[in-house]
Amino acid sequence: MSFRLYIVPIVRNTRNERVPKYFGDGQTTVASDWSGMDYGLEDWMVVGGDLTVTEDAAVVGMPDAFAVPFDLSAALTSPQVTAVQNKLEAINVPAGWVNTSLKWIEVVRSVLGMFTLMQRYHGLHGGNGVFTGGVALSTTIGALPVAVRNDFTAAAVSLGLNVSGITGTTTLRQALKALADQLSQMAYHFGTVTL
Amino acid sequence: MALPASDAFTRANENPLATGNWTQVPSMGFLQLLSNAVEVQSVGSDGCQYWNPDTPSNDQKSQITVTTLNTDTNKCVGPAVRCSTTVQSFYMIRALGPLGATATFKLYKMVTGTATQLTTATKTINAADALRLEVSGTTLTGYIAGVSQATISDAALASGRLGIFIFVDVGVPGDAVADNWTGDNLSASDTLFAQACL
Repeated sequence: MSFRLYIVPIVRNTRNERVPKYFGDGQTTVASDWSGMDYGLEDWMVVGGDLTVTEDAAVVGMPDAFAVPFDLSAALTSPQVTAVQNKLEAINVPAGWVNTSLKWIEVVRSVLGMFTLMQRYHGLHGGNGVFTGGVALSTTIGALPVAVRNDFTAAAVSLGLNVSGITGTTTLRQALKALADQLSQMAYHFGTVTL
Repeated sequence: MALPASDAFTRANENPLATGNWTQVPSMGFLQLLSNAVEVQSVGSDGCQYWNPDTPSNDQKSQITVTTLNTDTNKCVGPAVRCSTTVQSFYMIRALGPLGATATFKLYKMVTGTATQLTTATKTINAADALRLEVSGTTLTGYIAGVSQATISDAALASGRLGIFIFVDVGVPGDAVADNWTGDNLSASDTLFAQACL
């Protein structure tokens, strides 16, 4: 068919490894090749692949999956803004900035920037994800546990991001978006497709 | 020693694999050298060891040749990059049999003991094919016999050593065997070549 992006939950396979639901071992709906980027240790992944018509319909029909339109050059419609905001906010990805003036590729790249930051955080912090122990998007940087705050900042710095605008009163929602905006020129690879 | 580094495993058996030159990634199983090739030390233990004499740059490549990959989804071999010396973290290719046109090529990351699958593709992998994993910044590219197969983005691990990963969940250690490892820093020409392949 054509390359498409999907947001799906991460589940565990029989080896207790994290795999994207509907794509990974033991959960196979999709036999086609795929590649994905996780939201750090948060159990969600953006998966890209050129699925068959049947596979695409199966994933699209899953209530916990979100399929991004094939055409990433189009601007979002108002219903699409609502739908993607609801999905992203439900999985702790800030989305209040999404509006009808944006194209899907711009939304996708901002989201993947946040995923990149959270991946580096996971690599530095290990252990649990950020959104545990009552931490939410509305939590301020100053209210984060010290180790989480330090590793979150270190993750941004290690990616070469400017953290001077991030203060103790900045919310995670604001920080994730502001830092991801600095990754707007990064190339994101999904197998044989680069965004 | 200095990079590039290599190990043809042509010497007496070692179990575990050459402690000194090869060091176990923390909390991972050992590999062993048997009959001039390398395989997992024991069934049911994921083996990953890194090349100890050299600290590569953050942009690096690791390559291993597939010798044996018997039919089963629970057996694999592959090179590893950015292997941590302190925690259970690294990137790896997992080539799964059967050898031939229906082999499976996967990229995984292991981050402080948590494995995440990042890509999967059905590929042709034959005996004596070299599997190479290159990492440059947040871009990982896997190769079979010198041909780029998949490129992905991941930012979890920024640095580490060069290594080898093998597991056999069922069967015998000899069900997944590799040989002729090489490792090096990624050169400018490697990066340009990878970009040209995209």
